[in-house]
Amino acid sequence: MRLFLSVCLFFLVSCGDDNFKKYAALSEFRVLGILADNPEVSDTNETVSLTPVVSDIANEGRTVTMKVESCVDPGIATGEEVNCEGEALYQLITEENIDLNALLGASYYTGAINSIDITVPENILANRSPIEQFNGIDYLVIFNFSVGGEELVRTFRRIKVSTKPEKNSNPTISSSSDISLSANEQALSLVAGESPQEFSFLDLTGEQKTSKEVYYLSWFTSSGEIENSQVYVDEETKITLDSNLPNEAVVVVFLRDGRGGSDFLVKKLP
Amino acid sequence: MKFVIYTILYSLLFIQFAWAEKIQVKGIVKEMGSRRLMKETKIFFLPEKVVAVTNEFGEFSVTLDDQKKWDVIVNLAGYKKFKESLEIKEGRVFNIYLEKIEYNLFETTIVAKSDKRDPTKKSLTYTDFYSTPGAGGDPVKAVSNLPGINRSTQGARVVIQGGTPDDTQYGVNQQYVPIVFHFGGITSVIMPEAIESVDYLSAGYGPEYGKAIGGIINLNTRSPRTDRYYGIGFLDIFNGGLLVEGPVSEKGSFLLSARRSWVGEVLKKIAEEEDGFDFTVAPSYTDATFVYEYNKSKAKKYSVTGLYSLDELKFVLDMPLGNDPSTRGDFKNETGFHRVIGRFDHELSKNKKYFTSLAVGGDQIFFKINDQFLDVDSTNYTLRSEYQMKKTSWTHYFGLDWSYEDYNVGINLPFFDSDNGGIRNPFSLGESRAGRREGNWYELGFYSRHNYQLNNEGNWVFTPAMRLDYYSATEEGESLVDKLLWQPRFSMKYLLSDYEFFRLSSGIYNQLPEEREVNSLAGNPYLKPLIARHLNIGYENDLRKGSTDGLKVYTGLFYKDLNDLVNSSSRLVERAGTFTTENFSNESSGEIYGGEIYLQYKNDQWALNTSYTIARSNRVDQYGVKQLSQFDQTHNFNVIGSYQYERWTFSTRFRFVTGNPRTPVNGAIYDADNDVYVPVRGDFFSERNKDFLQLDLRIDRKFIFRDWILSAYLDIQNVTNRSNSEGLNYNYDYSESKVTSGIPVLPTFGLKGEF
Repeated sequence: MRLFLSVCLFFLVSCGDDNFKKYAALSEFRVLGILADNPEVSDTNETVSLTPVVSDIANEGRTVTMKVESCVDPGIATGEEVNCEGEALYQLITEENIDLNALLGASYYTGAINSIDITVPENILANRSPIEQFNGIDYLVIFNFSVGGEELVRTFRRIKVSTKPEKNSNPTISSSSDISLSANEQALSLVAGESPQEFSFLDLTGEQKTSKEVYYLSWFTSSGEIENSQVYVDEETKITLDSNLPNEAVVVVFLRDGRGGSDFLVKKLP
Repeated sequence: MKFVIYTILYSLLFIQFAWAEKIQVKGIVKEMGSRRLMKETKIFFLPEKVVAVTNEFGEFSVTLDDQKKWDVIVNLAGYKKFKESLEIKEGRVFNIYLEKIEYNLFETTIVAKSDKRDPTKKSLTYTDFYSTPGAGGDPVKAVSNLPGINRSTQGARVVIQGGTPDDTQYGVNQQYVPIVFHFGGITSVIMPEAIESVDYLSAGYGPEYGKAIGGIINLNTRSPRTDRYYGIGFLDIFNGGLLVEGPVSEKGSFLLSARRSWVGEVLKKIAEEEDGFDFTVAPSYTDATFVYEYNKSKAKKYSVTGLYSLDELKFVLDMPLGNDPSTRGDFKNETGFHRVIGRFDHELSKNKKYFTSLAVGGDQIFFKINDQFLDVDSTNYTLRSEYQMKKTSWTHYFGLDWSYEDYNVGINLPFFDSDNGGIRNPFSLGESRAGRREGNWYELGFYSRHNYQLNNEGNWVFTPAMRLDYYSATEEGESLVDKLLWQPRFSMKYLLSDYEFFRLSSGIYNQLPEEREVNSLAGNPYLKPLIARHLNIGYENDLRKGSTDGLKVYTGLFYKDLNDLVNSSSRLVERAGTFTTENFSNESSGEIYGGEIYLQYKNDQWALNTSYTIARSNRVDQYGVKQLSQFDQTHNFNVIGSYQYERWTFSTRFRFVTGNPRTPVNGAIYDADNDVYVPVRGDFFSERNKDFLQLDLRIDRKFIFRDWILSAYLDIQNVTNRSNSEGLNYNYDYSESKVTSGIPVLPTFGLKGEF
């Protein structure tokens, strides 16, 4: 009870600040998401391809170093640090330079960069409890982006490893609202290519239950403001570009299913 | 002829006196406003100097000559002199109303002798807490002015002597209740007018209580009035309420109070009108208290107390809080409990008595945000009994403290990591874990206390004591014997006089981990109870020596050694042949030490209470890293002064408290699956908020009418509108921050009518 009184108190006193930089504003180097071709796999030595989506508008293209490490999730949700060093089944996947200008210059320095392949070690579910085996454990992949040895961004994503017969698959974006390089308020909306998946899981007592994914969207823009930048897939939001219109702008939307599955769309204006 | 005339005149005069009949006059003497019946009060009738005395019901009866007017005089200490010329007529009943000189008594007092078997116990009575500035008439808020009580940044919880809020247990009439405050600490769960006193027990407390390694806060409901029906109605900006009480038979009496808040509506209105004020939650609460007492005889008393409390919150978040996608949508929180407490007190003889008290009730928590929820519904039974026996030099107490709970818990929530340096992880970070379980657990406690004072007049008082607890909730320990927790406790006093003594209290204390930590659904059922060892020494001197005016001094030093504290654990442990996440373990420890002083001074019109606590509270985490506790407050200084003039009382409180420790955030890592940023914390609690300074003012005024009293008060918290730091508020990726300020200047105006 006491914990939840604290949680409620958090909601009671939570407040934002209009002067903080906006979540939806794209400018400095930022990772917007990491796509996995298979968000959920078995522990049978499967390979997953991961593709980061980044934006670095303010720096107009530069070379960054990407270091990728992986390990079994040390327990981030239970308070452990996001750090793979010394953790079980550690792998240094790659450390490479990426020329953002060459890769993204044509799309306003925003978009997908090099994919990397990760082989999930086999038998990592061995000796785990039946609930953990069925629901899965996380194989963690940490990306560290730096320039000249100075860290720009650290980010991570999980690859779910489970014995579940039906694995999670990525949602897809079917279409989105048309927007133009205009100072007028414009609607932002998106249609997913399919309905959210139903999936099964074992609850804490070991009983099998089903649930349904909830799709939600994250909108970003290089110009102006987005009214509500994080919305459900069936919710419309609004964008107003800067009144002093730039020559070009970019709007990005990420679709996530809440279980590691995602898709994205970059709209370059005009 | 002259003789005849004199004879006639004399005869006429004689006849007149002879015809002056005696008449029976009856009346009642009451206190003006409260209509309290004044017993043993003398009423003088002049010019004949006839005296009547009231009986226990305030009634008098006197035989007077039937002359037209009498001067009626009542001159009673503490009351304005009553003098009126009254016409006396046969059959007339006089109501005489006496007006008190002072209706507003203000004194923050540590109750001295009455049932103060525990040297660490401090109590505030209604008179003490009601007029405390900054407390809004609330008993538990007023307790924060006592030494050893931390300034709470978690409004709804009390932190004792550098412990954590979880280390404090709450009770009503010595029976456990889950909360003592309504949501956000606005007010306590019982209407203050229904409370007789609030007790606060700190380090070294006696064996009667257990299951709390910090201390105890206990509210005592008061006995209903037996002289007449009585009512109170009040309203202020937060809430309104009613209280009625009175006799129901010759030996029985009742009290019923109820309150309903409208603070939610007020806050909603403010949020609508104030640009930039993000108060999105509109809390509301309801509570009710019922007391029935039946005094069968001087030796036997029965009572039933009913308690009901419900806090509700409902709102819709259109945008996620802190750009955390999980924290949006429908939000609902209900926290409630109810209890029926039956109690029987029996004085078997001059030296033997016992009581038994059974509480039956339930606790409800429902917390929901979108499809994530916590749903707890439990039925509770608690029994407390005590037998007391006095011999020449010994007083023995034997008691039991038993509780049983039937629970039904459903969750669909991510894991909450509480070892986060006060910097919460995003809600979306962890995967939700769902499940529902029914079950029961029980706790058994036995205690004995043995006071020894040679012939009840020796200088030394020794009190060896023992408490034994058993928790069925934890699987730790292979057998019943292994699970028994023996907790020896000891206190002693050296009396320099009736009013001056040195004291020492020490003992071992334990506490069950939180329910979420020890339950088999999402916690670790193999957790051990938390253990603490307390030592408290002090010196007290009541220089008033029995009078009400003067100085009283209380000093103390305390030390608490804490072990088997609970921490989060992501370690894999073997359970039933497979490996699973441990969730929690008992690998943290801590120590708390400090000193406290409390000075109380009072004369006719002035009162001054000063408390100062210096303390250090350290923790050692599961990796052996020593750090400050989140609730470490080096200095805590409170001064309350009051001045009373006729029906006015002016009071003020000044507080200085060291800023709370906080953990720096050195950046964030982006969780690409959930679109949230995970804070990267620096050394836990290695920085501090700015020191806290606050000045509060309160003005009370009573308007006395013949049959009722109207009280009005203006309570202004933070009168200087100082912006006190309560922490930092971060942007979505923790790259920017802003100080979160405490309450601005907050005036509260209230009215209360007593009928």
